[in-house]
Parts: sequence; structure tokens; C-alpha cells
Amino acid sequence: MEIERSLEISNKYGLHARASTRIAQVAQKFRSKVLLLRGTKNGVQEVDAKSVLGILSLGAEKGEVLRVKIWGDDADSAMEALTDLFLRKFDEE
Amino acid sequence: MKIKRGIPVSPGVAIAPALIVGREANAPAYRAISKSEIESEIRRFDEAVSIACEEMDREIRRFDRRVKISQQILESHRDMLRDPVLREEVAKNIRSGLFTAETSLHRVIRGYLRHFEQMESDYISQRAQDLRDIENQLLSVLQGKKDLAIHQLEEEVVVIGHNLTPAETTALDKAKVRGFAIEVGGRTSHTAIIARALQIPAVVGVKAITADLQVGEMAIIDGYTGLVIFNPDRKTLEQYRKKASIAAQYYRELLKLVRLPAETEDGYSISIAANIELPEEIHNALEWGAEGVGLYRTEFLFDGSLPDEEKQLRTYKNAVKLLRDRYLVIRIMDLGADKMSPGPTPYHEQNPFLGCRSIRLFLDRPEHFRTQIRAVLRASVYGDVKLMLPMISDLEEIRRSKKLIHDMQRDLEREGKPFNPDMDIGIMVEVPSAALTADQLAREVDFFSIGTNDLIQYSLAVDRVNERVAHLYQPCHPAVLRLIRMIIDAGHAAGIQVSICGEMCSEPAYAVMLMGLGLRSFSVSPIALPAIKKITRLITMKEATEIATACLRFNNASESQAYLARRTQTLMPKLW
Repeated sequence: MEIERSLEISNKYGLHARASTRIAQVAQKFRSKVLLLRGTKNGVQEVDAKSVLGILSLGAEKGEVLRVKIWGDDADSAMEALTDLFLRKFDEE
Repeated sequence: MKIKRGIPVSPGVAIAPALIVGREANAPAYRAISKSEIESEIRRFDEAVSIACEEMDREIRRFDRRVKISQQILESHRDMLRDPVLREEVAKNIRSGLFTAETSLHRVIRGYLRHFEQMESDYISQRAQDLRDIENQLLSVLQGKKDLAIHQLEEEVVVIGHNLTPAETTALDKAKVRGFAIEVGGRTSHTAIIARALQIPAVVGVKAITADLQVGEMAIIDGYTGLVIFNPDRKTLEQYRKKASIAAQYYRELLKLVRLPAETEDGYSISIAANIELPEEIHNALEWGAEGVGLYRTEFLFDGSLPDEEKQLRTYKNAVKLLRDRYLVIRIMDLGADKMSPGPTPYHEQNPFLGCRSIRLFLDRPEHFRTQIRAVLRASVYGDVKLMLPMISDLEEIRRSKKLIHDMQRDLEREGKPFNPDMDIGIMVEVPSAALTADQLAREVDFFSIGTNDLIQYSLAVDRVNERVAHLYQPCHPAVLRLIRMIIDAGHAAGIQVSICGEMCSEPAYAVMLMGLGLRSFSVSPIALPAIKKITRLITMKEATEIATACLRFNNASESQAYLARRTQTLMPKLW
């Protein structure tokens, strides 16, 4: 099963070390493949959401919208967990 | 005896034999492997990762849970070590390139480094250091370097190194490691933040210290001034022993003051704010009791070019939010002279300090500053934001600057973007001509901030980084004191706030004299804050006035200096 959704980064600092770590930790709990896509002026940048280094290298800032693409047998619950994490602003105070 | 200077990032004094750690890892020697070695190389990498991660987990558990931010740094670091994509890429390099685990790791990290370094965000480019840390950590496991076990030391040491990773910093055995000094890093590096959290004296950015030092040599680390002294002579050693014991006791006392008001014994309150370079420093400033930010130096946003308006707006807004209802004075980029110059350097300067710098650059090339002014104006709706113009030397510059700002306000209005039309605009008074005409300037602005560094340099014609004349740089020179008094009096006569943000007011003895000259508002680096608060609470305004009056009468700086030392030594130990 493959699903896609757009999620907005709404925490204070964007996808910095802490937020990137949280995303990777959550994504790693699932068997599904999870990708984050970010549109830039040079095309689409795509990284594995289970990789802290990958997410960091997006350099995505607050207010940006990322496309999340997930496929695998637990895609639904993975999407739900990630959406929740984005809405919780990556558990930052 | 050998003395080196770096950036003090965590206060205190440490004296002990030196332990040298973490010399920079060399790029691993290239060696091709055979196909039959592929799997064992990959296994070796996996094992190195799990050993390094276990070590990190131990550190995370060891670390005081109350220092949450440091724990989070360690966790991120651990998760980077065991990043599955990093592992995949390393394995791919081993398989297809027949490289060793070390070389493959080096190649992969270098790829990330290139990418990170191209990114615009300062924050991310700082993460490049994290990548180097990860590489070093894994390389030292792979190359079978002995664990230095700096958390199981037999005797007290100061740690000297090229770099300490955040993990190594927290692994320091606090009972045995008295302090550290490293070659890399700045005030805002993770290592510096952790050092402050652990309250270990630390100096960073000391050039080439590991090269000049033998293990076991005596070393002094002065976390107040940034000095690192090797093989001190007896006299220096004695001085520092005394300073260290006074400092330790004294700092415990200072911390008790953080929540108390800065108020003299006879009831005058003094406002103490912080000077910052990055919004992240606001946490520290508030922790140490700052009432606001009296100087936000924005040159550090500038990295060849400025971030765009929206990005700057987010940075300023973020700073305002961290400060809640406290004030934030944003100084427009003070470029040129010793600092960077914008874009393509417009002019070659024969004499940069007297050249087209700072406000002159703004008036000459307002288009370079447009995004900054607009971002500050827009940030002003979110809190108590004030704009400060540096290096003003006459009335005309204020009028022209205000006209430019006014035009930008009109643009914002047309575009329907909100701003606070009543935002305060003030000036740095740091050029003698401004000090001498302060009464005229005061009518045009909402506040003065005295910039003593430049004021002293310009009025005494001394370049303080020039070793041959640095001794002529005298904060207590009668000319400087008279100018400062003129500025304060003119500001107060016009009913505007007068503050001071130069390094001079970080010294408690000078702070007392400045209070006596009439100053009620200081802005100092966060680390100096508690000491200034303490001295305001120990003195009466009557004494301060007496001290200032006496200093104004002296014929030269050394008399003032000696008198100040005498009058304040009973109040505070001399630490800075």
C-alpha cells in the first residue's frame, strides 16, 4: 500500500537536530519505506525519513510543507504516527 | 611560560597537569580490500557503530537528567551514529569500491559535509562539526585506539585537545577534570553550551595548542579571560591559585543573586540587559537574570550575504518570543573595518576604521540593508523591538537614516504588512563628535547606547589590537570619562534612556564608576551579568557618585585605575 500526504513544519526551529532525530525515531518503528520530499528551485529533494542525516540535509525551515510518501504493509499507522508528530511540533516545548 | 588566548565560554579557573586528547583524526590511509574481505569490513563497521552507540547510551544515562538540552544533543548524536542510510552508503562503498570501512566512512561523511556546507542556514552549517565528530568517533573505534577513559582518571587534569565532541565533554569526570581548552569551536558550539551546563571552566578557539604542549605539563585555563597558560612561572601560578579558590566560592554566591533585583543599598534600581550574537544565547541570558537584550549584534547573520527578509523576520520573531515581554535592541549590521563587508566589497579601504563602514555603508548602499530594516520593522509587532543605528557622527546621518526607514515603512503599509509605527529608534554613541553634540542628537532619537570600545579607540586614537599601542587604550582616560558624562547628561536632559553596551561596563569596578556618572542601564555579555548585579547590590549610589567624582578629577588613567581598584577590592574579588 502506498500513501502520500503534505505536512507542515510548525515548530520553532524547523527540521534541526532535535526534530530530525524525532522523525527518524518514529519512522524507524515501522517496516514501511518512508520518504520525505521537499521542493526546491533545483527540483525535488528526496530523503529517507529513517535517516537523521538525510532529514538534516533537507535544511527545511518552519512554515515549509513537506510531502510524505510511505509504502509498505504498515503504511497507514506510520502515516498516522508521523502526522501526529508533526502536529505535536516534534515534542518541542 | 607560554600564554595563548582563546574565547572564554564557561567561567572559572582551572590549574592542573595537561592531558592531551582528541588530536584531529587523520584521513585514513587508503588500502584496497579483496572481494573476500567485503563482508568482514561491513561487519567491522557495524561493530564499531554498536560500540560507539553503547558508549553514547552510557553517557546519556550518566548525564544529569535535569540538563535536558544536553541529553537531547547526545541522543541526536547517537542516532546519527546509527543512521541506517549512513550504514547503507558505507556498505555500498565497501562493496563497489573495495574500500576499507575507514575509507568508505570518510568518503560518505565528506559527501554530507559538502552538501551541508552549501546550505544557507547557519544552523545546518554548524552541524558539519557533528559530522566530523561522528567520523572521529567511529574512526577511533575502527582503528582500535584505546579509549581515553577520561571519566576514570587517577588524578586531576585539565583536558587540552583539538576538539571535544559533546559526548566526550559530558564524559569528562567532573571530579578529576578541572577544565578544558580546545582549538576549534565558538561561543555557541555544542561543546561550549555543555561546558556551561556542567560549570567546567572552558576556553575554545585557541590556535595550535596541542602542538605546543607535552602531556603532564602544568597548565592554567582561565575561563574568564580566555587565557591558557602552559608551564606558568611560580608567581603566575600563585596568583592563579588564589584566583581559583576565590572564584569558586564567589561564583556559588553569584548564582544566588539571579532572581534578585539589581538595586543599590540606598534604593536605586539598575537595569541589566545582555549583549548577544545569536538568538540561542537568550536562554543563557535569561538564566543569568537579564532584563532584556540591550545589543543584538546582527553581523553574525551575515555570511557573504544576508538571509532573505522572511528568514530574518523568523529569526527576529523567534528572539522576541524567547524574550517574552522583555526588550530587544537590534543593531543594524555594523559592517566594515574589523568586521566583514557586505557583498562585493565596495571600496578598498586605506584606513578602514575611518572609512566607509557601519552607518556610512548603510547610507551609501541602503539597498543592501533593505531586507534587514524591513524584517526588523515587521518583527516590531510581536514585542518590544527597538532599532539601533551604529557609529552615528552627526545629526544629518540620523535624519537621512530615519528618512530611509520611513520610506520602508511606507512600502510596508502599501503592501499591507503590519509594523509598529512607534518602534523606538536609537543610536550608538561611539564617535567623539557624537558625544560632543549629544544634546543635539538626543532630540532626534529615542535612546542612546554608549559604545565604549569604539569611543575609547576614536577619542584616544588607539587601535587596541595593535600590540605596540594597546597599553594606550585606557577606559579611565579623563577624556573618555568626560565624554561619557556628556553623553549621559545630554540624554537625561532630553528625557531619553541612556544605556551602555561596551566591554568596559562588564568590569565591576568600571560599572560602579559609570553608575556614579549617572548610568542606570547596562548591557553586558551574559557571563558578566551576575557580577555586575552583585556590585550594584553591594554599593550605595552615594558611594558610586563619590567614586565617579573622584575619577573625574584625576589627571590620568592610572590614578583612576588605582583608586578604583582600592575602592572596589573589598567589595569584589578581581576576577576579570
